[in-house]
Amino acid sequence: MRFGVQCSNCFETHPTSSLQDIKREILVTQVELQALTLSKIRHRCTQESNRFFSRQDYDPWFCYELFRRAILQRDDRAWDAIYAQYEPLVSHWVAHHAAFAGSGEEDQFFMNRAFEKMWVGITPEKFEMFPDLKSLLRYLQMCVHSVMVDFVRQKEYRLVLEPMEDLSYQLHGEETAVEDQIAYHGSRKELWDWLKQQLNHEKETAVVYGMFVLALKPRDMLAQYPGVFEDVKDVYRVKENLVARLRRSDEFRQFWDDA
Amino acid sequence: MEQISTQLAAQLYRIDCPASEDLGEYHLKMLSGEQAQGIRQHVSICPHCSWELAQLEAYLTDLAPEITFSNREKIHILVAKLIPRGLDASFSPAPFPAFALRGEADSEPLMYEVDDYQLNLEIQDDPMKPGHKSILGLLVGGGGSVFEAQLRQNGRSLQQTTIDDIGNFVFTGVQPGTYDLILSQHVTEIHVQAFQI
Repeated sequence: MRFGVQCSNCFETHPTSSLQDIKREILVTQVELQALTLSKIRHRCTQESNRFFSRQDYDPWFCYELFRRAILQRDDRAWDAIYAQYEPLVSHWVAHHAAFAGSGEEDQFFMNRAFEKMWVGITPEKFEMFPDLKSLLRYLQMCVHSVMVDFVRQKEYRLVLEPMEDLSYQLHGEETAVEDQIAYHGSRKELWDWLKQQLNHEKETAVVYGMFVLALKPRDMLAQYPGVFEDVKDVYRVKENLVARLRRSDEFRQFWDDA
Repeated sequence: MEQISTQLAAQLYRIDCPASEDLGEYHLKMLSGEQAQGIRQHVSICPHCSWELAQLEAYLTDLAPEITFSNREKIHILVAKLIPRGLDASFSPAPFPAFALRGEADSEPLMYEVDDYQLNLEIQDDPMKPGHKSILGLLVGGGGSVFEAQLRQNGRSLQQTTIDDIGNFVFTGVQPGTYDLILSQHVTEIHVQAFQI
């Protein structure tokens, strides 16, 4: 079986010879494809996809033309056609992802977000980075992974927040100095930028980044920053000193407000 | 003290990690040199992003065959043709003793042939799953090769099984619809396209 690009009537397949020939023929093909109605393109995309899935010689340019119209012309009907055509495939990709099984969500949930990511991600300016259908579908696969990662990140972030919720509950019954006023009202970035300026040495930088940003355990810190800390106790000591200093800082207090 | 630590962890957790789609575009080499350099540096110190990137790479590699044939051009693909009813007298495979015990077939078996291969598909109600069907298959002419049978729909692989030594295979719990079947061994694939259940 040989694969090649379509000639101008879009029905014959020629074996490819050189990159220039490919580009020339693609150009001819695309010009003619652009003259076809959306419904014709859509129909042929379905036909050619079926040929692809049954592993026969196929022509990818009809489906590519759907993407071109959807992205370059922002044609909603072309997007609808893409969604209809690729929904089963994307659903399959979602189900195939390692994070899906334990997510507790329907595949439709992730599938819709993957298509949204693609819609937002491929602007008309970026479209030239996608020379063929394969590259577009690869991007769509990447979007599936991306929405799964977003979901996992949110889940992990909720786990990080859990102790804070417990803390909030405890604080209603206790009076402490700073800790009873630490409902945060600033932006995370402001706090991060300020904090970076307060760090006195490499160990403190490593502690803040390793323990708060990367959420590493003290023992993992030794592996992450080899040669920086003497031992696990050293990690704890640096952290406690830093937190104690922050606790006394008026500027630090200003990042928080009354609950 | 512990409370401040908790607060800081909550506020700073993965604060400078790139968005997942930026990581993806980095992997696909779509970012400018400067953007790519920033992410490269970040990934080198962030185990979370490093893991997500490795996971993406594995995921895309795993799914690659679904958007490209890659080395499949070497595979000899045979498209099986349905033998019209009444013309299949020459195809008299070994009887189906096992099938006979499983219940009544919905209709006449579907007979296919291509090259030296002959395939019989019998559709029956699935006694274990009301409203569903079983597909009982017999492949003749394999010459002892081990074939895998894959039931597909809309490009998705739904079920997969190994064809036994005498050519039998079964798919159960199949909903009514239109399916494709691919019987494959090392360098040969037999395709049965768009058959109705």
